[in-house]
Amino acid sequence: MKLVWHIFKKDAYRLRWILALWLALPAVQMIYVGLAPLPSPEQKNVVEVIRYFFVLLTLIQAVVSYLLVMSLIDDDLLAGNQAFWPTRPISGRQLLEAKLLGVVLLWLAPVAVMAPWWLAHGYGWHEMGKAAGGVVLTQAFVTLWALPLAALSPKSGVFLVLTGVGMVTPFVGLAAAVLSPDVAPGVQESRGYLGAALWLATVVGVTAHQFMTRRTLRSAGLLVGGWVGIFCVMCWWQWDFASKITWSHESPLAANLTLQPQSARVAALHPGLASAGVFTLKMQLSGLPEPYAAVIDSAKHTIAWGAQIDTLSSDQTAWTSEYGWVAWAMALNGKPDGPMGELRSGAAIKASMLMERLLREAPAYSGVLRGRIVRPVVVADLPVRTGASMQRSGYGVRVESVQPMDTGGFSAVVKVFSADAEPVGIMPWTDEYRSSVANREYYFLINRRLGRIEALFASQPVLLGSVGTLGVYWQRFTIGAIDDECRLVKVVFRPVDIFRRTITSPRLEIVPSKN
Amino acid sequence: MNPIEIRQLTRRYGRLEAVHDLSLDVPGGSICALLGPNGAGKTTTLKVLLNLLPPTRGEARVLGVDSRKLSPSELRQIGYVSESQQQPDWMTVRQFLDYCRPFYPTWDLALEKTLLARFDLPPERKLKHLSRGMRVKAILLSVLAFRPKVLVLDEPFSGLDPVVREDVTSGLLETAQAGDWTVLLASHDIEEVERLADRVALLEAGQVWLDETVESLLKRFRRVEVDLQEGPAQMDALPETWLKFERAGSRVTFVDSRYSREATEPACRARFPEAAVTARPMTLREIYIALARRERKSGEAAA
Repeated sequence: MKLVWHIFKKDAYRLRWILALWLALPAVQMIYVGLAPLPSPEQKNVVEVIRYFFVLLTLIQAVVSYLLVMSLIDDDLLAGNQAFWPTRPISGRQLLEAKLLGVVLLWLAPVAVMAPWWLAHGYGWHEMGKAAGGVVLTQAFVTLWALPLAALSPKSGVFLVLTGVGMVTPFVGLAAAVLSPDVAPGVQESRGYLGAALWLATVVGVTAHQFMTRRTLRSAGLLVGGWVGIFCVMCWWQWDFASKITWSHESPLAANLTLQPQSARVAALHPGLASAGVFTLKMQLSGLPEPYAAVIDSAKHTIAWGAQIDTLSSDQTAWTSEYGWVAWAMALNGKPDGPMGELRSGAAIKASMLMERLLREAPAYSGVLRGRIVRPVVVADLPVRTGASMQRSGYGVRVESVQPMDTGGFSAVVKVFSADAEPVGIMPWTDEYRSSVANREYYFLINRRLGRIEALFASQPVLLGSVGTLGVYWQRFTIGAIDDECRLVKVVFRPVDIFRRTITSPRLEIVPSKN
Repeated sequence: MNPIEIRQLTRRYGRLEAVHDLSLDVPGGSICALLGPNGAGKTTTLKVLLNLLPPTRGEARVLGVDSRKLSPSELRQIGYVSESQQQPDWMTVRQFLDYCRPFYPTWDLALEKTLLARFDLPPERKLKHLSRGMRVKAILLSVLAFRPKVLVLDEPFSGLDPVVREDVTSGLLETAQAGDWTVLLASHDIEEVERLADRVALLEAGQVWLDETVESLLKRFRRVEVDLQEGPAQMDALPETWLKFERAGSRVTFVDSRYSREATEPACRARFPEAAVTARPMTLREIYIALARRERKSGEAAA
């Protein structure tokens, strides 16, 4: 272990400057967001520029962390026959361990840089763990993608070529899977799981094999085999095991939840010819006690008229529209003038033909829906007054300015930071703190005197640098005078459980939509 | 068991056979030089020995272990210097030695300091900023300092000026006196080989065609000069051991590869009765050139 540490220290020392520069990128973002005043609503362009600049910085961070993996291997090449280390008393296992320490450094260093920021803003352990987990997962994805390719490359040019090839193959498979029309949702989900598992196995297998044997051709064969395997799985795997996975960890709260489709409204997106339609599915939700609510995160739907080929499917993410309703877009497949029996992928169909058929013959519906059970929590309650602020674990709000407007409403700038959100996106620190922070619907203005509650709609929510600070501006507001009776309330919906439901209805009532 | 044993080694690069059925033993304590033209298979043989390349057929054993199974415990006793090998060029000489030191329990700090001073290496200069000669000396120092049992050198003198070459050779000789080691050296620099090696193996087209001690070679090879002085000369049916036979005016010269005063002089008298015969010793370089030309001619004839 002493020698493993010795090699690791050598690598860390060699890459110290580029590591420092790499870590400076998020540090700069945090310092800017922490110190710089928020632009006013009139400075919309400035906000946009800053936002794009931060997105650019984030992309650079991702690319640099990818290239850092190559640099890590570059000093102790595994391909070719001119490397320094094989002629020294260093085993492949020791070298692998040292390089993995380097990779773990790439996972944890950004967390270490961001931790002071999190602590300074009152993040609790739970929130810090969540935020750190997101950063680590993103870094792990980027670095593990690079690791086997770096291990097979005798020089950086080869690494870049392999990167190109490596990007194309699985994504072609993924695209093929997404575009394949007649696959049941469970099968597609199974393909995703299996593809991800194969990818991970390929990464681990190729890397370990190359480090232990330095047989580059054989390792490259393993890599190609893995890629071909992923491609085949994404295109042709037919067995649905995802639906059979039991969700044993569901709490009684989720176990009592039932969803039942009742009816659907349907509208073609394009009159005349339709390549897509919008269904608004009325779903009855029951079994959840107050104040819990259910949020659908993803859904895969199938509408069928029979056991044969007349099937429409969609894996569009569903979203809540009104109480009890789930709206979703559905791709339609077919020829413009062909009969419904010739529905095929990639072509448009006459909207009227589809509408008629839907209204004439109520189809069967099946869907796999996934979501979260959430509990609304008031995280901020403060007067609408310049300088008013509050802070609690993982969340803080400050009213930067309140200005009356000619229209009778007011303009306010509110600075918000929060850890109460899920990490999303594959790039490091991109949109780390989204959802309820940026969601306009979850800000409320309460006027206790008038006894009214009204949702506020932020006109320009800006996530600056994705480090948890947000500018929110209201430019119009018309529920009365701003006085001490008015309170700004922020509600977040904390996830308390997840659920997954496969629901079927042999006959779905279709209601014509006015649109 | 010899520290280095190569048995029927073949190594192919695609369709090209770089080493063909090569066998060679290097006895313990000897310094063996691999000599041969470019492309003879010297570097490939050394790379197979160090497990930088796997053999296509046959095997190479170092310290009794198959080269494909060399572990850190054997590599702690094996030193390898090659001018084409990748080095951590971003390190200074001091950092390089500090990095190498912990891998070797036998590292001799005093010897490191001695060689550092002797080679006149600037400790704070990066390897990539060193001249070619300085770089070779730094690598050699990192290898000599742990007193390896087996030392493998691939073209260590290539491109070095005479002073640096002298430094490297002296460093090797001094260290050799202090320990019992086995050296396998591939080089074109025959003068340095002659100073260092006690054994040479000549390679041509991936095969060893001569493997002999330097002492024996120097003993049996002589340049013979015959002054005919207008006497009779019998030029037919010359012995096969007479190489590079040339006549210029009244003077005949050749290299006798089996020289002995008792045999060579009577053979000369039989062919050149009134001639004056003188034989003088040859350098390893002269012997190598004579042998290499003969080998090339016989190769061409065979082709």
